[in-house]
Amino acid sequence: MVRAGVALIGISYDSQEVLRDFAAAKAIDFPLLSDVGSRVITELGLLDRELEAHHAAFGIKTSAHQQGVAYPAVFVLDESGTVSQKRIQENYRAREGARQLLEAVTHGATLARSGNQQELGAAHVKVRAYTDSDYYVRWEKTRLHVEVEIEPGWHVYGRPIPNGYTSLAVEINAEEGLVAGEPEYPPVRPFRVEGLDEEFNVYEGRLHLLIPFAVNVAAETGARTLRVSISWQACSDSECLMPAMHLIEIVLEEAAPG
Amino acid sequence: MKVNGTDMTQIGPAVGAAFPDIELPDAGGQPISLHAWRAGRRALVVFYRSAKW
Repeated sequence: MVRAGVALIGISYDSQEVLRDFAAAKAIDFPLLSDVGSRVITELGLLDRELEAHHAAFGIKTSAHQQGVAYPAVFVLDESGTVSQKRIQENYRAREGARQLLEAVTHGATLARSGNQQELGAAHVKVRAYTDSDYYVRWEKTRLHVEVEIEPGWHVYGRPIPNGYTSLAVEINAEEGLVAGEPEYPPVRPFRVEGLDEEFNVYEGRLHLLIPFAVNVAAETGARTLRVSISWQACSDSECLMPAMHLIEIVLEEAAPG
Repeated sequence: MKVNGTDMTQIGPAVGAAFPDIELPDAGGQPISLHAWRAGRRALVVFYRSAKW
């Protein structure tokens, strides 16, 4: 962590090999400690016994690789090594994935994209979509990221929008066992068109949209495909293109055996 | 705050307590002792489920 004076360290039950691959893939520049066998995790009282109990309540068998994991938790230590703050996920259902937790403490600085990224190049607009992880864990909230890059001199409409115009919209297509939350859109900029009474709101430049989702199914179902609809209407100062509508597919594997 | 009967505030080292000095290998196999490595700096110790899933 580049921040002056604060040291950052990550701990999980992963093997050194898994950590080496992860650190290389995500360009992580702080130590990742390997607690194979979960000895320290257990000694500190951070062994997640709830995963098994939670699954059992739903008639789900916990996979072998899901045993021995730690509760996602962050401890802030002061200069003397005393715990000054502590953050542990309260609601099991809303439990953060590894990536979200690391993001919270590194402010996204060291995280690169996961492998299932999809890119789309359209007229004056580029879209990049990916998820927090290539894997999903049943019943766990994770996120779809949609990055939109709009060519300088062009903008796309945002909401609220007058009738007849198409605003930027991203939606995960509904499917059984797939639960999606409301997308988080960035703030729009008001925009006045010469000679028109209506008020428009637009986006320009680079945008980053987030859509939370979870795969809520009782049994192991293997790989899932997220079908994401994205639409917009791009305009410059002098012209508007027809509304664009695209479908992006992103494949997620079910969390792999350790 | 209880989740399924577990009081989450009781999990792990408590606020106000000294964080235990733990020693574990890093990804390259080098043993790291937390407090020695920290060398008097403030620190964030992040436990996360897995780097793989």
